Amino acid sequence: MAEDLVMENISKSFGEVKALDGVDFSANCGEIHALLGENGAGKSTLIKISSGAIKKDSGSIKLSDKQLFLRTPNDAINIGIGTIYQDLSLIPVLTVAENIYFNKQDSLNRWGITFNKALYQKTLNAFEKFGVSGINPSAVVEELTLSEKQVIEIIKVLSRDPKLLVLDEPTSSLTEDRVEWLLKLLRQLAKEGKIIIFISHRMHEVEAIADIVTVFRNGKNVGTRKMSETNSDELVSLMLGREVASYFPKKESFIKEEVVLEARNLSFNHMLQNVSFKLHKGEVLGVGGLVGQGQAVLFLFLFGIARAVGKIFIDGRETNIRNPKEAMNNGIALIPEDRSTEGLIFSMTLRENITLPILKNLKSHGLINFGKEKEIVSNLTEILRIKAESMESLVSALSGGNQQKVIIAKMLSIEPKVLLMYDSTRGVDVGTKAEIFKLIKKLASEGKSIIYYSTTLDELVNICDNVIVMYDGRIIGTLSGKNLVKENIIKASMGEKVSDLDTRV
Amino acid sequence: MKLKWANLIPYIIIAFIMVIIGLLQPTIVRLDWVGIKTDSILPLALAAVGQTLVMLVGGIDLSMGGVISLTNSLAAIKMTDNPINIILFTIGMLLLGLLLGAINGLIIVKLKLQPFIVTLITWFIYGGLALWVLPTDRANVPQKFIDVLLARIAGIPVSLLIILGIVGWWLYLQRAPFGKNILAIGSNERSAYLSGVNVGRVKILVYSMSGLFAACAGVYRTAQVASGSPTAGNNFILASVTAAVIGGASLAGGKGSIAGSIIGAFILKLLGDLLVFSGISSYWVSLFQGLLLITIIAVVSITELVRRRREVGA
Amino acid sequence: MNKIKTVIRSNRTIILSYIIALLIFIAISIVRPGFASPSHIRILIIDVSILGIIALGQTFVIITGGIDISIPWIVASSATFLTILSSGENNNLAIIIPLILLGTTFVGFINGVGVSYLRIPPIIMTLGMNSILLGGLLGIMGGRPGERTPTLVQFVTNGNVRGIPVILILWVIIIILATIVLKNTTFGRQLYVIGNNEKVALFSGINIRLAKLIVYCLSGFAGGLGGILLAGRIGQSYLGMGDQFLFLSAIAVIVGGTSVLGGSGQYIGTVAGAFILTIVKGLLPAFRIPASAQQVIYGVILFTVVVLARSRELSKI
Repeated sequence: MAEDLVMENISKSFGEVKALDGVDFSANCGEIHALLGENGAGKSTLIKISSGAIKKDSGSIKLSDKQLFLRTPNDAINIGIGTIYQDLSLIPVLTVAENIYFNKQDSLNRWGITFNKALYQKTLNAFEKFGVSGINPSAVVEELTLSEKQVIEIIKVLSRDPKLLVLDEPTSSLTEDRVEWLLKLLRQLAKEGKIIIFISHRMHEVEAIADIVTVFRNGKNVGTRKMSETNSDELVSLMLGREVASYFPKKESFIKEEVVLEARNLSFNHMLQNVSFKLHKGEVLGVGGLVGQGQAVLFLFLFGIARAVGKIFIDGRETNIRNPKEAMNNGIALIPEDRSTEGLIFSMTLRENITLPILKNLKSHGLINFGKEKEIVSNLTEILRIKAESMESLVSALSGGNQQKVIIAKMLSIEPKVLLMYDSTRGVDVGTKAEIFKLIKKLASEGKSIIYYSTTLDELVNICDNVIVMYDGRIIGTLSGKNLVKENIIKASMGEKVSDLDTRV
Repeated sequence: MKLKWANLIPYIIIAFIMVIIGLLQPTIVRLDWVGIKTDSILPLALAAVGQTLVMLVGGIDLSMGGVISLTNSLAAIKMTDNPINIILFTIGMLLLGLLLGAINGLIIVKLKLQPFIVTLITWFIYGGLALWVLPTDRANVPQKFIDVLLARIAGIPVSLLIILGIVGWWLYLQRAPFGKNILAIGSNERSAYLSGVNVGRVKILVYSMSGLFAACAGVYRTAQVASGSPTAGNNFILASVTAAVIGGASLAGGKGSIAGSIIGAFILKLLGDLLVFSGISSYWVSLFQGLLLITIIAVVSITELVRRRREVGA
Repeated sequence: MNKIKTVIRSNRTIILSYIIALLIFIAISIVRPGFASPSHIRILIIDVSILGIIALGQTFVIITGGIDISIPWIVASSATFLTILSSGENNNLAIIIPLILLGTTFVGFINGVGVSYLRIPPIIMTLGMNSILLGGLLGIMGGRPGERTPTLVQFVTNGNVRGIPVILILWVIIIILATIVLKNTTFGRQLYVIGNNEKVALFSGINIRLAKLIVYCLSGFAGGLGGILLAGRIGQSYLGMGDQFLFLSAIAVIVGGTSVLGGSGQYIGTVAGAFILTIVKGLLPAFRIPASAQQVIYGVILFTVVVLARSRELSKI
């Protein structure tokens, strides 16, 4: 087996966090090699290193037995490594044609410039070669749909005829017909002898197209299998790393009859379509579905940041939530998606971060009562078991798991009725995850309600009482009781209607 | 880049203004009127071009106030009548502008500092140098120098030729990799980087070019007003940004047109003339410029806000 | 003991600034004995206080991540209107002064509306406002020279009460108030969050727009107050009198340890910065450096401070 891409002992740290820990990885030409792993397992970091976007701390990369020194994305591109990024790398103000041939030396005429007509024709040729239809080469990229942009990103990379093709979640933005197109294309490219590596969260796609699968967990390569010699259960257990059951506390329902929050006919553009649901006291309501089906908009709307048409009822009263402050006044708290940009001020202390939402409650004679502040903070840090030197430590010095706990503490400080948790276990170590699950159970038992969004199916199944699955901005299915199993969530996420067995009154 | 109706706005505005001028002062619009106008516009147009380049990558150049003052002051007192000296000196000033701009670019890129604070400080330093060189307004400008720059070649003003040359260069730049790289950086720096653009190098070049254009403006001004002033450049800062914005430039980067900015400079000047014509003293000019800039940016900002709320909801 | 250590550690830059100020002062006094004479120190204190008061607003604005470029002409407008409206007499000061302060605060209010509600970048809004005030004042004055400052105002700026300069008393009160607001109030803490990361501020329920609006109003007020006091110091008003204060206020704030990006810093630091600047200003005639080089020197100082601070920040990442 001639080994064409060989990465040895790759390590990369971001500050305290070790994203990759001595990883060995290799891929051969003619093969489609899938990379699996939970969020934060290191896959994207590896890809960014091979694409030249970031520098590794240690290790070596060899392509066709040649040692590679990648300092910039250009180095990788010139060597024949084509990378299709999840967040795309297109220039919004330029046209489709200009993007595809961006920075390509051989597309310049003898005066060093490109003429639009020539580019237009070249693009049409490329479209023909790769079987793309329905996109106008003169269209400005920012006016395209997400699926069309993804296609252009793919063509942009393919037009340079790379030896190694790396794709990061290429199908997450594609419409179904274009997914078919891409899978067919990849098979063809593999036959032509290219090396193909792709990251995906969609097990059925991986099963359909990959020849070889490698699983990453916590920055390490935990196993490589031939697709034909393994199955999805083994892969999932490799990804999770321990017996699924011991992770989660025993399932118990604390649902009361009282409806704490009701949403009726929430709509916004195409992102939310007629979403309605009821949240009961003590309920843990899961929200599932693939990324980008409207879950984020829903959460942001409930917290007063996004707009939508429709009604919200809190404790039966129709309420208008115009900003986060009003949301919190109504007892709704949000633990946001991104810790570092939305949740915490890294250069401030634990104490200062936690009390941000309740500052006005700490006032005596117009000034902050430090004693009261410290009392509240120390209480919360104890309840959540936040590990830090003291409440005066800077949040930047804490581990990811503890940082997440600080955000939770911050939101608990307002004593919310409803806690919105958006992907709260992302980038959090296993131990802290278990603690968070226990906490959710405890809060439910105390009569609080939780709306929990996660892309990890096991979490939805094991923590939530009911799960609403969103697809294309709609609630396509509500799963509970015996229906709340991973297969149903996946089916619903893909757009299949699963029979709703609403076992609640 | 596609031609959107929005890009035509500056041209529509100037056509409108020309019509008004034609109606109010029918005798005045002749070829030498154009010549007088382009002569007086050129410094601002040059400054606007430099500012546009910087704005395209998402930055701003406040230091051009200092560069213009400095080059204007130096040119006003150090040039002698010797033609060779004049040529060398002019080249020297342009190189100086290039250097001063490069300093901005280096600090902004290597230290990852915000453009406005870096160029604010260099504005101060370069302006201070101008004050040091020329504490009060003075003039010692060689006649030959003035004659060349204000000349007419076959009836066409040198200044107009320069403007046309710049427009031609802009048409070329838009289709060349360097120009596309600039637009790429301004509209999505991350994408530009991942697509292989050497972001740092392009930015440093852009700031250097801004310094170069500012120096051109300063040197030309020496000929145009036949004197030097250590604070000459200060008015150019606001005016160049306004001209660029009228021409369609966005403060966030990625959008803008050099041709549009030149038209913007014309519009500003003609508006000023109209005001004076209607009896408002020239003292009030700054007020109108400031008001104009704020209004335009406010309108752009609000439409952007409304559009975002409608599409994204946040 | 530990508590004192942490206090020192977190305020390192500010303490350093004070030490530098002291060292420069001592160095100059040795070389030029007249520098440390009581009468000269009095003059220094007056100048420092004026700068410090004007820089109060700039401090708050920079902490929230913005900047106020309209300070020069707020100061000049304030001083000019004081002298013109009063015609040099003390009679109607009780009405004139509050009116002027209201006016400059209103200018700050407009800046704030533009920045917070219309989302105009602070640099553009305040640059434009500076121009508007410049043009407006030029237009109103139409080439007339400024007039005399009322003697009462001159007294407040230059006079003593029981041997202590009046202006110093005023300034110390302001320092105490400002420091309490920044360290001990909800509002103060919110400003740091806003300057640090507006998204987090949003997600924490902070009313960002109102906070920014207040901060620009404050800057207008401080500029107006400083302008009045400046008129007292000079004895009259003239058009360009505010020009130097843009850079001086920015330098004082940044040399005083406030980050250029916002999110950190203390008014006490600005005070130290004001001291350093004013003392250095005294250097120049003492060492026969021409006034024109002053600007270059200040610029280089600011440049050095910013570059050093940023290099330190970058090496920590």
